[in-house]
Amino acid sequence: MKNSWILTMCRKQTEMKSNVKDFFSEWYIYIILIVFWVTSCSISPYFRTISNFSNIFESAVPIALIGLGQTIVILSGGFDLSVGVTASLATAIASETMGLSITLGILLVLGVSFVVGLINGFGVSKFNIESFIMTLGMMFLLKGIAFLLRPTPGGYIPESFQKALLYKISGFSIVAVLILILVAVIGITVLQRRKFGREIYAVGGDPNAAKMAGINVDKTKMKAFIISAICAGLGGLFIAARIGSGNSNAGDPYLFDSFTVVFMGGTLVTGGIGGYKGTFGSTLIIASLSSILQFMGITIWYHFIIKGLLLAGVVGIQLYIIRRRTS
Amino acid sequence: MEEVLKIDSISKHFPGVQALNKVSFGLEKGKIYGLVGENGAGKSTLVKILMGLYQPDSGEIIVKGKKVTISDPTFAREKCGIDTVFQEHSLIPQMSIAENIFLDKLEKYYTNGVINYRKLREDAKRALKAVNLDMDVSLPAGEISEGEKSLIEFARSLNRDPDILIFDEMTASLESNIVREVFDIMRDLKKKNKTLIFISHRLKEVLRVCDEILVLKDGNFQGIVDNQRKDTNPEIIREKIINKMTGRKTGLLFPPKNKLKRSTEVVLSISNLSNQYLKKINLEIYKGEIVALAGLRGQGQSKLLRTIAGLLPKNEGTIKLFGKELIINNPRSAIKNGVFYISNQRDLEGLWLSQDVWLNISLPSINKRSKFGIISKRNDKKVVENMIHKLEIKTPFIRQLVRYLSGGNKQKVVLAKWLLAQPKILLIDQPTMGLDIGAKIEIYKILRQLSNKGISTLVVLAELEEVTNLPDRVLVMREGQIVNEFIGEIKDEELLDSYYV
Repeated sequence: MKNSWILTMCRKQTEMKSNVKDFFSEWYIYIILIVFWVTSCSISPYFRTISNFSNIFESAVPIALIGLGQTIVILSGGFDLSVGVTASLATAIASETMGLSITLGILLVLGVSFVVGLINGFGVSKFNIESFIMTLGMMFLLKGIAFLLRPTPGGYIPESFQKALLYKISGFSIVAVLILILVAVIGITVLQRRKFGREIYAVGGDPNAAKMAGINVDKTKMKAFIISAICAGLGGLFIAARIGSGNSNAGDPYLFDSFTVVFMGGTLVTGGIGGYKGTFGSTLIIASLSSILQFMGITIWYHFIIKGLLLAGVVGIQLYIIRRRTS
Repeated sequence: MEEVLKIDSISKHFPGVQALNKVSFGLEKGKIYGLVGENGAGKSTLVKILMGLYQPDSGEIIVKGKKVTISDPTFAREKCGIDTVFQEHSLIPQMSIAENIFLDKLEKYYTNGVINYRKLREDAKRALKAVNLDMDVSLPAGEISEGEKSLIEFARSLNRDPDILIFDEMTASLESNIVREVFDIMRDLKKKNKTLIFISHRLKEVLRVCDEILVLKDGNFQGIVDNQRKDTNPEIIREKIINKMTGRKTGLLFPPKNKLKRSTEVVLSISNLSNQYLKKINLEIYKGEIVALAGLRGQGQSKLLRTIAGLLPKNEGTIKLFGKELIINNPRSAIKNGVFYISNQRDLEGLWLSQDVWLNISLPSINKRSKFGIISKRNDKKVVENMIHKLEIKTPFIRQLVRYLSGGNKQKVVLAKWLLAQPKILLIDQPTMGLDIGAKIEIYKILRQLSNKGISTLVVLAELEEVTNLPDRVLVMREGQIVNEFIGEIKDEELLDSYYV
């Protein structure tokens, strides 16, 4: 069938638009990152040191991990509010059990995270509970368990575990950087080029259509929450290594950061559009932002204000774009 | 002949409706079957049961002599060889065409553990060739036309090589020359001994391509009409089918047009109205007139209504109501002036689906029935019930959620709510879209009654039969302009001729 010229013309236009759109949505965040780094290095002599960049990369690891889980859940059309507390709980578990055996500690954290994700996923897919409510409930539940386990900061994280994760070559945190690269490669590959990743997009894009296309929607959602919880657990382990103890509050701020990096990276609140490439770039920006604000002598309370405005602004811009595109 | 699919006494009940009632029939290999019935007759339910999206309450499905329980679409496709080109599009808008085609078998495209998109695109291109479509398969499915979506779904189903292929209203979004090509492909499939089920509201198409036609009415199987003998007059077969579908003798019945002389009172007058979709629109609508906007699809008819209703900004021009200029820059100001717009997307823009009939009808005019800011519930209920009675809205009770009403009754609820708010003029976009014949006739009747009472309507109509029979006057639009006007008796050919340049 020779398509009418109107169709052809429409298609030409959309093709052009989506090329431009793709370029910006995929790479703009890295352009911002480089500009940010260059300006920060030129204003602050403290910023342009190896130890500062080591610090940035180390603090980026938990955000990258938790952000990966959150990206997957949001792409699938949900929210996971329990990630921060899962990380907190992980530090508590680690501080209680790693003294016996590091492997045991790691396995326990992974096991507990798996169960957390399973329950979240089960509630959301089988009982149709709004993910927002389900994970909010989970958040408070885990908070209670974490404090039962570790009412005050403390416990024991073996030095060998800390040293392994924070290993430095001439002052540069090489292990942290390797972890970051690994997480980025896995995150991007799985979401862009594995069947599971594409199913996440399909489910978040249109669950009914995905079901008709033969995708097991419930199972896919379940997997998303399990991965998110495990990512949070792993993030918690890294946090434990950094602070050298268990702390039932330590993971909480990462909930906020995970949303910021996901939305800043171009993943849409509505699901189905976005990816880890953007989340990862934003992770590096957020980690660097804390550092430069510190060097500029801005007190921590202002960090909260700035981050809050950033999140609201980013989501506001997104919604504006969505509205413009749909009208 | 071998029976490939047998349905034995299938029933399915939903709250408030018996969607299917002991439906039984058998289908043979190498035949094209039509499946017809008014909206709500149970066609879609039947399709969803065959695809494993619903489970029947009772009854058996026998595929190739074996009893099966179809648990999900994958089972239907892989174990039973049944596939469907769905009515509601089953493409993911954000994903590329290529990915959509192979969404359920992406693992077959792994090279070194990751999806090989080049191979995927090549295969997708090949799959599209089967339906004579050549396009960039990396485009997101949300950015292509409805017709193309249908064809892509068709291609996807063909690629799976099913034994039984169901077309659920597939041709509704296709142009006639493309429909012809789809029919050619269907006849090829028939030669390959496939069984096809063609569901459509367009009886003409059903009669053109189908060997036998299955008829459903209110969930009951009404029997099979044979269409294989070439010597029978298609009109007779058509009559037979309509008889089984409705119990009525003929198809659409239109109320008589206004015989009286046109009123000289101008209700709405528009001069030089322009924006990015419209070019210098001038029109006047007289009291009690039904004026239709016609033309090919998407020539600005709907945009004109939306502009008058304040949903689209106007760049220049004036809109006058009873000679007084209106400043309309949002739907609120239009409604305040008694200019009511009824969208063709009933479920999205016309109703609160999750609320009951009462609230839906009452809300826009609720202030009229309240004193000192307090609503008189008894009075409100009486007024709403009166309206339900007048428009013959079929609802089991006034508190029924609108979601569960049929399309025709939903449309009547939309009309009812605006009628209570006392319209000066109604702007209606395709009032009978997606409705069955019975409901259409009732909507025509209501519009004509309103006209006799002096309420004018400006209505977008798509179907030729409606354009020639319903309105008092027809304005033909092309590329955002009004290019022709017809009053009184209209010939089909003349009207169609004016659609094209």
